[in-house]
Amino acid sequence: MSTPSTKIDLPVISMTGDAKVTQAAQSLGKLLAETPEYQAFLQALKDINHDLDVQKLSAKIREHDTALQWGRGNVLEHQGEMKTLQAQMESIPLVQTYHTAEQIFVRLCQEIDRVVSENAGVEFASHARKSGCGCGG
Amino acid sequence: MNPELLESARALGAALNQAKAVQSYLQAKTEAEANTESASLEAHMLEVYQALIARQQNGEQLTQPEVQEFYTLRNQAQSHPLIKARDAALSQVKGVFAEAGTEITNQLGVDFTALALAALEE
Repeated sequence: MSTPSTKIDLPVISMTGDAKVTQAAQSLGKLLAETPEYQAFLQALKDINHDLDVQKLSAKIREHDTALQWGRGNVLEHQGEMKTLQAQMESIPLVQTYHTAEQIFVRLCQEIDRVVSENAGVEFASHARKSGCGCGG
Repeated sequence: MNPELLESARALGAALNQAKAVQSYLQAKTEAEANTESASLEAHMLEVYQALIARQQNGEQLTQPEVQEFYTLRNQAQSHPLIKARDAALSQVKGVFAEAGTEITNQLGVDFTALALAALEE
């Protein structure tokens, strides 16, 4: 009588296509988060969020925006004030730094999208965008 | 772009390409393009659409029958079996792509798809 084999034949489990996609997307996201472009963008975002001048100007802009939405006061006056406040905001060096960092990071994201799309055979970002209109587009 | 990031972007593209939904879509797209009936129906719909848009952009007021005629043409194209199959396959692709986009976004904390589609300031 032969000794029963203790070896168990396990099925070969291959990763499904979508699991590979998930893993590849996670890896790409992690690497992208480590880039100097992303780190600079994140830092610039934190800087403007913690800046008191930016906070004050943002609050004032929101006040005028809310007044416009509720139909309070003079529309043209509110719009004029918002334009002035927005210009003041844009003149703050930290905000300018943020815009520059954002543009650099956007360029990197677009370059990544181009490479992903080329290899996928289908445009990536435009088809990954979640439609908010409920039109199925 | 650093080589590791480039390779990772290529790997995601390749994984997406191999996904069942993408392969089905590419097959359905090829079939719709290769079929004379569906291809000419879609080309005609696009031609009519572009002509109507151009007239509208020139300030011309389109008549209701013209618009209705376009909708009829669009419905005709969208109900063609090959075009319908391709569009259905594309919907599946969008689901897979949206999930991949979300995975990247989750790692970043900012919307990757929105950034990739953002128009750069002049």
